Amino acid sequence: MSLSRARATMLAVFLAGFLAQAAMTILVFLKQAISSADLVNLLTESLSVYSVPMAVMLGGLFASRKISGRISAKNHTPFLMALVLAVVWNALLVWRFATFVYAGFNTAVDDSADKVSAYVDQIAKVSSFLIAGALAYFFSGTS
Amino acid sequence: MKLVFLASLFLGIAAFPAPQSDVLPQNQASGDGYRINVQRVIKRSAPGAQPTFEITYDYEFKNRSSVYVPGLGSAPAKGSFTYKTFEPRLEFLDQPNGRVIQSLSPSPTLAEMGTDSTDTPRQSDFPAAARVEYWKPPFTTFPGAAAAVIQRYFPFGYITQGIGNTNYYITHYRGLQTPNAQLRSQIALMISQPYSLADDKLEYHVQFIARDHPRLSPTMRYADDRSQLTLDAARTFIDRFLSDLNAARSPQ
Repeated sequence: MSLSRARATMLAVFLAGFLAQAAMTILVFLKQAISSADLVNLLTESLSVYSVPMAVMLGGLFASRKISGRISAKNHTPFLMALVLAVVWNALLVWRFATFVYAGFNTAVDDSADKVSAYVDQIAKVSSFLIAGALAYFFSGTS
Repeated sequence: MKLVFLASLFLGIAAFPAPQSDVLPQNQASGDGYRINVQRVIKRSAPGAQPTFEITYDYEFKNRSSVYVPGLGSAPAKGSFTYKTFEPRLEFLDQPNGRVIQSLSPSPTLAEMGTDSTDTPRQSDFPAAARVEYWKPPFTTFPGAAAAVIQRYFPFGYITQGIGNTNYYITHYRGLQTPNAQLRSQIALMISQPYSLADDKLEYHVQFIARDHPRLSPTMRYADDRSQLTLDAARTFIDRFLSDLNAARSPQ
């Protein structure tokens, strides 16, 4: 697997996580279960959480105009580990939005935008170790 | 030895049960042609909020047809009320701004700290816009009728407040029914009187605060941020409330 393919895969995982959260927030808003102020708050919270890893990834991509490196057989393991950790990190955030959407469509379930926002804020802070190393490994340098 | 004796004496006194009474002696007053019996005064305090006193009393003035209670208004010479007030003082006047017939400063029979969870707005929180209504004689039936209807819709009662010559009854917030299951709407009322006794009618005003929040957004919305459904539900509620209030009028 080429390094550019590995980077693209990692970027896709994070992008999918962020878009899933944004879509679910908008869905709950369209259901009229949250106010426009909370729509902005939750989207801002998600953006702020994703801004650091996305900045690292996009910065790494734009810094290398041509990526010609390949991941050797022995480098597949770090990539798989990085991929799993990235999926775990995103899943930690996305599942909370999934429960929020469920509450938005089921009036018997109690939840609130403040609780989701607090969860995202707290989890993102303490779970950054999951992705910091992987991002540095794959997105720093040009090959 | 002396210390041990004093300690056992202290413990003995502390362990001895004090006489219990729901009504303290200073919560009653009686004399020639009158009696006032304060059955219960519950002092409720919450951090950062002015304490309220929920007072339950009955009274009778035999040689009068009516009395005036600041905060409540003109009332029959015999009656009983339960409401909250900021001042633990009960005054009976012969008329508005008139002579004090009897007054009482009852002691709380129960004090509850941090338990007043009812969300009640202040008098100054209400918008100036008011619905003007009239009450036909006898005017003394107004406080009793208002109390009964308020109690029906607002089970945690109301606060009375006398400001100048105007008496205010302020309710806590209660839920409103709207067609949108995702909307949580609430209303609080303020009824004030008297404004005018012209044409043999008591003019009273009804003001309200309606607020709402989407089910999963905890922050309340006021003024222009509110849903139109909340305002419609508030108007419907006030119509029903006033209809019940007029129906509750009963001649003495």
